[in-house]
Amino acid sequence: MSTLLLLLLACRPDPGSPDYPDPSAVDSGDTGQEDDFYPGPDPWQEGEARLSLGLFYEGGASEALPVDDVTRHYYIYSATYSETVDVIDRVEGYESAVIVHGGGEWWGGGITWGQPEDLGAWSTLHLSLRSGSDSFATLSLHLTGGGTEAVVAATDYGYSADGAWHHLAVPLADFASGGADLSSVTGPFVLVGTAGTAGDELRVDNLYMSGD
Amino acid sequence: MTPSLLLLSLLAGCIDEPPRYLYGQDLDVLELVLWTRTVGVYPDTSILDDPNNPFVTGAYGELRWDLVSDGAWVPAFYAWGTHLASEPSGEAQFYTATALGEVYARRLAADEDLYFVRALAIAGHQVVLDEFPDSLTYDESGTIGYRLAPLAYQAILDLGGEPQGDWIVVPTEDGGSTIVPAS
Repeated sequence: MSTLLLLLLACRPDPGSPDYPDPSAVDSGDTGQEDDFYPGPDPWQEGEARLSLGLFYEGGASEALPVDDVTRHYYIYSATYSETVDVIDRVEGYESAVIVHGGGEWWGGGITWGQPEDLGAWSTLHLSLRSGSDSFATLSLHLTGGGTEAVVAATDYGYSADGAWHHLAVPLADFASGGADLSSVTGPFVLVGTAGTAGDELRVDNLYMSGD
Repeated sequence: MTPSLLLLSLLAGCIDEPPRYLYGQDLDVLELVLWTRTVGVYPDTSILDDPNNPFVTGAYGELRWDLVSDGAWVPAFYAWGTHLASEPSGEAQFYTATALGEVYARRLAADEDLYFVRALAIAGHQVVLDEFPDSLTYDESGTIGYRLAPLAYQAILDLGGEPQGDWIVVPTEDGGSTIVPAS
């Protein structure tokens, strides 16, 4: 039986190149599936300065600092939420992330960099959010630089849990004025929220930073 | 010996056991779970509702000092955090934040939680500066006091943070330094 399996495997033709998009591609939004790929509210243009953080974003960028699970991590704190994807309800790319509230007293998660990065060349953090649940009525965006964590409220940038997508543009200067040193960032993006009902959902998509 | 008597004697025996046992519960295996996003930082009192807190009934007493001296930082956080929520003081806030700082530095929590543990430690030490700037702690004799604000200030720096507020660093007569309010 084992011999037969090995023979069958040996006869298996070369599968060739995969026909699914490479999510790590950062030089172009063209993944070969234009019909399915959502360009987003502000599609990247060749030559435009855009930084992908490798999370909640699949489009093109001029630079990328992707999560590599070596020095750059994406953490969900204390299992306060779970995460899945939605390939239907999305803003950009092939899917949006769905944050599912764990039902606890809070929820939070985000990107942590072991080696500080200089984000001084970037001016705005972009993010799209959608929820129709009171569990996500208030949430905060955190950025840590130079050891200081600065916090802003998403509602100050147009977000509300009204069931519609909201496209936020947060000036990084607002984090700097909160004490974060943008030349030495270790926490470029953290989302934190309050108590809620288990199973309630928040969709997140189109996360990137832009230059001037 | 009846089971009841055996149980009683075992429980009584726990009194003489090493301090990191609480009524038969091995505190060394206690895990830090971030119950709320401001747990252990005054004026948050959510630690009193935390199901993972073994001291929720207040049974920490003098054990909280032993936990610090033994370097049992996770149970020390729960003991001092409970004390802080029950009887707010700069000393309780300082040791709660110190325990969190040690949990972070020694990676005694899950990797995914260390970012927030550090943030809580810094926030706790900042509260010492903001809310309890004149707090003291004492040596074993209980007669020699130490200002906690300079220690909290240094702890924030050690955690890679930046202390907030109007504090200035000044030299001391013994060649060291301390902090004083700028105005």
